[in-house]
Amino acid sequence: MVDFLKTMGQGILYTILSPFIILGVLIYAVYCLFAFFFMFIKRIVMFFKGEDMSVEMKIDRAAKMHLDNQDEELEKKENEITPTITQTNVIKEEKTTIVQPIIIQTDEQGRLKNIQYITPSSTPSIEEKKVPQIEVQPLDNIEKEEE
Amino acid sequence: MIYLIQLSESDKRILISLLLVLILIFVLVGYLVKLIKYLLKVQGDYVEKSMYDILDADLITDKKHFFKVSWEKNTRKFYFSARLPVIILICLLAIVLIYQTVIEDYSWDFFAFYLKEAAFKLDWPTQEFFGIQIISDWPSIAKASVFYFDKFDAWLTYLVTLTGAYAIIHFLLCSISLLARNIRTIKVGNEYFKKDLDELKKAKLNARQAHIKKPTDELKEYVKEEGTK
Repeated sequence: MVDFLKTMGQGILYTILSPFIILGVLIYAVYCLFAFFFMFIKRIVMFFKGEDMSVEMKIDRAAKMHLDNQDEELEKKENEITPTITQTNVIKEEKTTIVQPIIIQTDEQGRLKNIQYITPSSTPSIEEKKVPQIEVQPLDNIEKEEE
Repeated sequence: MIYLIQLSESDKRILISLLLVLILIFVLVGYLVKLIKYLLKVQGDYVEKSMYDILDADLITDKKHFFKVSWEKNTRKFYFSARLPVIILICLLAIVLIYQTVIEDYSWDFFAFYLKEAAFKLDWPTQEFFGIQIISDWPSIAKASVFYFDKFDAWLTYLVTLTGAYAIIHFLLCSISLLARNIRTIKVGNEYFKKDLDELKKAKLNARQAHIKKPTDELKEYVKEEGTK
């Protein structure tokens, strides 16, 4: 009921004020017409200057660039921390998957001469993974040949 | 009250119906105002949307600059939204001028004639109520609308009138939207760049207290237990 009375009160107020409001809007519409033609001329001038007038202004682009740079900086800071975590993970994986390499020396006829076990002195890095590949014959075959 | 007692039964009926009609009109106007206010608020929200990133990046630090940028943005938005009605109006004016040049008659008499013929006239029955003539019944049609669909200038009149009315209403709405956005700009600018001494005092006090170590829970408990002794 109170809302209804408020709405009616507003109706009475704006009915009384309506001629002045309409007059004000019409005067403003005339101003808007001038503003429109001013913007039209401004756009032509900007066109001949090699620029294009859009709703998005230069300051908007600058603000976007600034905010994007801030985001990138934040991402960089986050990335600076993450590699250390991933590196430890890699080392752990290396420890679990590594196989102890051996070098088997044979003579010209293919007889076994020496077996050398290579024990890793320290935790292998990613580069250490690239061990030169040597042609290795299975031990069983060599022993059979000797017999 | 004495006058009301003196009223006849028909006078009372007229008075009640008049009051009901007036209440209905005022309520309708009230709801219309509410609708217009809501639409203006929606249009005003464009200011927040368009200025948010700029203020977030701290590229504007004073009120004057804020008003300048926001007014420019609002006017550009108005320009792009009001292009259609203005182009329509210019086209209509050009069509009418070309037609007038072709028939070599630069008067607007045909316009007035066909509009007058298209309008209808109602005859409202009235009754005297305390010396004032007021409407007492539903109206009867005194003159019906007449349309001349076989004539080119009549078609031109109807086209120009209807399309022109749409274009003018559209342009007025764009103007009101611009007004709403500019009013919102002033309001938001004044609020954002307000120099509030209370806020300044609070900020300074917070800055001063920043180095003060907060009491531990043990200390708080000790104060609770032993503080009154």
